[in-house]
Amino acid sequence: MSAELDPDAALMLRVKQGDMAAFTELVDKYKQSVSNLMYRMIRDATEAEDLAQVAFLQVYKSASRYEVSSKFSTWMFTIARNLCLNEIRRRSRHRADSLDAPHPQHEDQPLQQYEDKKTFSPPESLLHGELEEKIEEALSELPENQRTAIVLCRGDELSYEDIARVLGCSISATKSLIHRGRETLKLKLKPYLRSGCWSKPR
Amino acid sequence: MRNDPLFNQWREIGWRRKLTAEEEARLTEWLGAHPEAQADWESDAALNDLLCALPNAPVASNFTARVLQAAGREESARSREQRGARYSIPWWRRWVPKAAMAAAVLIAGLLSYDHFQSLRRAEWAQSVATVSQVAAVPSPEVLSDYDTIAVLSSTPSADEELLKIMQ
Repeated sequence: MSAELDPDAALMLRVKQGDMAAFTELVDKYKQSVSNLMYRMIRDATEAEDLAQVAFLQVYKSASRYEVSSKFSTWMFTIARNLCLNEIRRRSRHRADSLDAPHPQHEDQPLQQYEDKKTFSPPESLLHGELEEKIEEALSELPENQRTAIVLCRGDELSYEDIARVLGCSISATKSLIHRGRETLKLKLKPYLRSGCWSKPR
Repeated sequence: MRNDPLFNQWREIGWRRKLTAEEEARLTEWLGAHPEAQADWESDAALNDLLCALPNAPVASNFTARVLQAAGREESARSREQRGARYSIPWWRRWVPKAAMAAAVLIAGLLSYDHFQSLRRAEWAQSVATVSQVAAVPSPEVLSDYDTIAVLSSTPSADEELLKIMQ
């Protein structure tokens, strides 16, 4: 991976030399997307922001060992994800049932299954906040790997190859995770999807 | 329809971003030929819209400043640690061990040299003793027969008178 192809890797090489302006540029560029990932993984805005700062601090501390072997964004999100996983494990040790524990027979499904809601048409005056809450809730109920894959896929920052590297699996496995996660979301959000504008393809 | 590679390709693009106008046109044409995929595409598109509409996580306006502050503290702590490791102990505790090591090396060197010299002197003494045994002066009794041996060892001269008669 050449630094010429990835401008962020070039910035990171400058950080390695002690360039704080380059580090500032990286933080400004990635703070939103890293915070988005962390917020959707651990569902606590304050904690997510603190962890995001820890992630950047870890990037700074690792600067002396940084080698351009992959895109900077892949490295950044891998650090962010690992911090979130540590936090999720720490929380699960203090709970009776882990939200991320897989179903013993279907590993791609969460332990806690929610039955499909009966069809009903939400009133036109459905608050946007409530819909948002439903989507966030449905996302949080997905297994961690599916949730992470969908969140990382949301923007155009990472290619499927990059997402696969962050998750530590193949591209086809990554797409499969996204597909299964989205099918679960469609099932849980069916009443809310029904009210969407889908008369023609996007 | 989920197994159709072309349909899956458009779906995978749609998961990450909006289709371009050209992509939409091609998809519309394809859906026209495969109306059974319409419902699948529409539910996918609706979910894409919902996910895209999710708000960003809140990020404090001073986020970057706080990160830089933490990085600065990290740098200061690292420098303090390096300085502290070097100057926290008294000078004599730094130099005495080094001097003791140097003295030990010197003494070991001197002892080795002395031992080496002793070995050489012993070798010389041994050499002298050996030579003295081999090169012993013969006894006077041997020298008494010296003249006899010297005469016998010399070759007799030619008989010149006999040579003239024979010529």
